[in-house]
Amino acid sequence: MRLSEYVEGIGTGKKLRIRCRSCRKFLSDSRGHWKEKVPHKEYPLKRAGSLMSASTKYVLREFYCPSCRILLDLEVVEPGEPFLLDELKS
Amino acid sequence: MTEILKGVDKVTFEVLRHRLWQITDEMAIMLKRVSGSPSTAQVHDFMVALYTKDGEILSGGFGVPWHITSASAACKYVAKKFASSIHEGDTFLLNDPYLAAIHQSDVYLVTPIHHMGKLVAWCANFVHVTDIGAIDPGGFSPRATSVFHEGMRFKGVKIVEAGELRTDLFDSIIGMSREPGMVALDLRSQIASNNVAKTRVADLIEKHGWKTIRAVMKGLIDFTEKGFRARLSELPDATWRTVQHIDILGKGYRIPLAMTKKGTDLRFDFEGASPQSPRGLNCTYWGALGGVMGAVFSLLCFGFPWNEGALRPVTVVAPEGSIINCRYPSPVSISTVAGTISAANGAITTISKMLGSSDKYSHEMLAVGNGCSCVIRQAGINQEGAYYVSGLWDWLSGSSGARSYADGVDTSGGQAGIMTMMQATNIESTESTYPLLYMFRGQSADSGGPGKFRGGVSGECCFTVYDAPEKRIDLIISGWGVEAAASTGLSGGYPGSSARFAMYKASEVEPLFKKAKITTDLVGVKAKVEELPPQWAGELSEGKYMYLRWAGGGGYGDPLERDVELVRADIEKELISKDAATGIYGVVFRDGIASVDKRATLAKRKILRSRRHGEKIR
Repeated sequence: MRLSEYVEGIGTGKKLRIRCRSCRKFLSDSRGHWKEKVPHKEYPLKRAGSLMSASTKYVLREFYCPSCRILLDLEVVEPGEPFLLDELKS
Repeated sequence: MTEILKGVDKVTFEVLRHRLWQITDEMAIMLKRVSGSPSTAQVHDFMVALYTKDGEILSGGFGVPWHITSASAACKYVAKKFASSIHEGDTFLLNDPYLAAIHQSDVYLVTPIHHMGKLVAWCANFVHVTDIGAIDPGGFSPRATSVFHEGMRFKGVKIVEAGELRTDLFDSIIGMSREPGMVALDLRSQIASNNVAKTRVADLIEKHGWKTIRAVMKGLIDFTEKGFRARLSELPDATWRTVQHIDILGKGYRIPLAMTKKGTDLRFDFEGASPQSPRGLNCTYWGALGGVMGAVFSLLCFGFPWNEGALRPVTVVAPEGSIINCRYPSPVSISTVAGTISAANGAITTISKMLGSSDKYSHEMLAVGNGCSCVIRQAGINQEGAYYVSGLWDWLSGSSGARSYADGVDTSGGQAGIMTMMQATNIESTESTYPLLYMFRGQSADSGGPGKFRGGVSGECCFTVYDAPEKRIDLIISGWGVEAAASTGLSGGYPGSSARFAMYKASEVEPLFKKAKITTDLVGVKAKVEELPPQWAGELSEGKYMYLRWAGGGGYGDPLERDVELVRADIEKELISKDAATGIYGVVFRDGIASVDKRATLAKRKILRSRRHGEKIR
């Protein structure tokens, strides 16, 4: 099932596996959230464009597919803030 | 004919459903035509709706949707508090944010509708009045540290009694405002609007009979609830999370939101929100509920009448004592454009994430647009030598967030992507009414959040005093989003641009004007530039130029996935810069921007992707 533009779930319950919709690479299984398994990096807000704040209070946190490197998700957070983890219940 | 309700066939039901909506439409038209205040007549900072006799939402109409629930609370409060003294021809005024309203400037007028001497329904509207007598002119009060600094506050008074305007009260109210003329116009437009609703509903009952109308009222609410729950049942059970940050006064306020959908119920939980602010950024519970429901109505209840049925599956949890549900008597005058907007932004994002988990509904996703406020109020002596107070609404030229299939709408009007009927005033009317001269107002390149689909671009403007007898006026800024990025994107889309407030002191501009040379931007203008904080009060005087840029819309999807021809078209339309095209979108051109070098673009995008390795893998 589709979870977002670039992420989908295959199977259900304990057999649920998450994969990239772009390259079909499996990102995680039911043990742990996919965001905790893929590469991520925090950048200054300025990465989003020249009119973005130069403040260092907030960052862009990018999550990538380890295979095709597509930008799976992006968070605007304080540096080091816990990941925003969406939880599928069904 | 098939009966859809007892005694009501399908056709009659549809006719009456749309007739009730049309009544609210006429209420809105009446507000605009009777009031001359820019906020009401041009900006559309108002809301109109019909309610059941118990105050449940019957038909949420035109206007700012987050007031639909607050006016419901106002009707319920008045119905209970004044139960024994509600008579035909009465109209009650209420603006207490700790009872129902969102801040004092938004004044609610609620009017009972009777049939055969019995209360059968309510009509209500709100208008953001020009000045409410707060510590700062214009109602948004950066200096307030208590609700007692934020202007007159009413818990329900009869402004109209048995069909007669209470002139003693009316005169007292407008006498407490710095802009009695404008407030009088607004209050009279509100009375007129409710009078129209009352007459039209009475006519409807006369024509179709109370039994039929009562059945349709109940049927409409059940229709929306049933349809909304059925829609929710098509979506997966899950919890979606987001976080908003309000940056202000050297401090950051965090507003996390977890939205859980289980079966046919939806729960919005703001647990973890920062403690309330000593300033008026806070909202009361009504602001949080309204912000959430504005997004629910717009993004989930399309195709259904907006009524109590949309509220029944929804729970909003806002921790008491937090910025999203402050304790009395905390200040709240900036709430509509701080706490409430953040609640709306969060709800837009979590709802869109939920829609994005469905093949059927993913095309309904919407990133946040114009996500932070850039409110500016002005006060001083005008061209006619009279004291005045007013707003400047340029930022309501807006920007909408990107969709999952298309770019956001550029300078879309409105805010937060769900209030697109709000709009800026036109410059000509502003300049003719107030002692101001605009240097420019236009779209701002690179303000839309990059993505596979770009966020709508926002705009910028610059103005100075002109023909002001005192050669100066006061400005009061109540904004945020200068440090943070409020217009968050979706599915890898970047946020829209930050806001910017700045004061340019430039002596060389006026001589240019005298030579009929218009400065249409600030590039190359020699000036001393003072970056202003988003909460600020000060002077705009001759030789000074106020600059504002409001936030762009959030993007959708990976920018490296964007169609290269769309990128080229964006440069042609001056919506993005060539630097952004190459640096963010990875597009390389030939002959200026005449054509896209596809091979070089593939190579560039490959390089940009290869740099996406992350510093660590958990």
